[in-house]
Amino acid sequence: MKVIVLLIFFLALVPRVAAQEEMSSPLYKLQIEELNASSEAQLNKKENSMLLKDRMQFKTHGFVISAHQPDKPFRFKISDTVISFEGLAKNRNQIKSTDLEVDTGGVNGYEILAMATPLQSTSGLTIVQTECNRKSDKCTTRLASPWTDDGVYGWGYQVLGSDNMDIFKNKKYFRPLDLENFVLIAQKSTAMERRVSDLKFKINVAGDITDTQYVSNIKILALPK
Amino acid sequence: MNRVFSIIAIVLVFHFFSSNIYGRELDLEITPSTYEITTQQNKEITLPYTIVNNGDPDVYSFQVFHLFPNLQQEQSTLAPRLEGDSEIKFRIDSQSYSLDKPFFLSTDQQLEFDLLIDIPTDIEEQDYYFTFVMQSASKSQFTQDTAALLQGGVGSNIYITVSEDGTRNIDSNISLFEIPSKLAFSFKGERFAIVDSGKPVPIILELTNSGDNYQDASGTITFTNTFSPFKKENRPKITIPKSFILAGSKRLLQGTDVENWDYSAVMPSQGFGIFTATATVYVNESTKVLYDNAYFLVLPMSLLVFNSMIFLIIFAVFIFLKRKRKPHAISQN
Repeated sequence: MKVIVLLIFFLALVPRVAAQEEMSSPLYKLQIEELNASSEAQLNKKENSMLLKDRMQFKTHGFVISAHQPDKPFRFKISDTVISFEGLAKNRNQIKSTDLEVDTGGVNGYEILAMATPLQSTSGLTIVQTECNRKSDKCTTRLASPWTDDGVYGWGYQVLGSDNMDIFKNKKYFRPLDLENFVLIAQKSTAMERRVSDLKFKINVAGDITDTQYVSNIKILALPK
Repeated sequence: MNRVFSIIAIVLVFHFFSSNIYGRELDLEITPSTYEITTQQNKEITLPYTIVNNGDPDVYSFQVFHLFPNLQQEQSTLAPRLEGDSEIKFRIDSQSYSLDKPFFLSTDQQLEFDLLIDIPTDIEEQDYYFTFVMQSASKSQFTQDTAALLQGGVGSNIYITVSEDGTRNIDSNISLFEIPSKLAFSFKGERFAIVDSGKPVPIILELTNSGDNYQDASGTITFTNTFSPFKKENRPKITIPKSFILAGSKRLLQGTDVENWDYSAVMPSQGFGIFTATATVYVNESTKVLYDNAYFLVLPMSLLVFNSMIFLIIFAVFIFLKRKRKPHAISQN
């Protein structure tokens, strides 16, 4: 009698064993919401979205690490990091450029952020940042505007190319760099390979400016998105 | 003696041209581009990194910034990292390199190292975002002219979720899915955009993360012409690759090969008809699936305007000729 009961018990467990084997598939993912056991059962909004193997690792080590596409490097290139305004003449503007190239390996998007120090001499003399055409076409660190008036002195930049911001509508549009915070100068949300943007700096100095060397250090960082 | 003079001469030459060590071309790559970490408190985590300098030799340094999502401008904001006792701490597991200390890297030199992260015991259970950056040093001694000196850097994002039981709060919604058009009308509570048949159709798909933790999203946008004889598998479809949306931020989801920065996708001209665009967004690899529809009418507007103009011109000519003939007819009577 005992043997029959044990046999029935064993047979009843067989399908459960099969189900557990299916759950261990690497494709399987737990999609249940966490149930807090209490006198009043309630559903918690928190959920475990980890794959089963990650869940096991978390239980063992207390953490799970996942590298996004570990075989695809994120690459950033600046063709020339020294934008030198040689022979800068008073009352005449000068434009110099460099290429910014990003290759995400087709994995993710990217953004390029920039922040500058003032364009100034070692003695503290400063070339002001452009306000573009002032009046109706005044530009800010967030807004680009046409800068065609040679009577407006200062320095500014524009980014043109396939991933430039729409605020740089054409080659006449410029804006000043932000001196306190990183500001977005180019981006692409979707995964792409080898994207090139043209970063142009324009400088226009007044006739009464002191003849000396003015330098600005500009941090330009490319980040995955 | 001659030997001593030779050494002094070499040292002097090296000294005068030492600024040339600093390169002008920056070309850096970092692997991997993103780390995702779910961890309990009081843990030490090791992140292996590989960095290659493909550009000119230069002086570089490692830095870790706080990464903040920006809801208004949809751009990331970097801020200096705090160093308090209850803050997450970073250090490099190397005798030769450490954070915020300059080091020299020659062309084609490759670095392989571990970035160690200490998760404190008393840290709050929530998300923490950082960017690990390798950037070039200032080149202030490089030029004698007025100059803009660029310090380039490449970053890798680190998304950390601190959770004792490994659970996360994933909550998101499609905050905007529409066809931008100045011509639109409402019918039974749905917006119908009107677009010209000769022009491509832009689409905007925006996802808002209203949960407490970051999430990834991918998906598709499919187009159905109400009068189309095409089978389901032949309908135009745009694939949206995986992207991350940080907690409390929103993001424009973009399909592959989209050139315009403002749009998620641009559908080529598909002829006339009433179309339904269906967005399917898979959040956290199908933990949640979100759907939304946008409707639009494709009409031959350019053709209609052109035909109307032709008709008006013919009508005007007809009236003009009729008026011109009338006095002549009267005079004959």
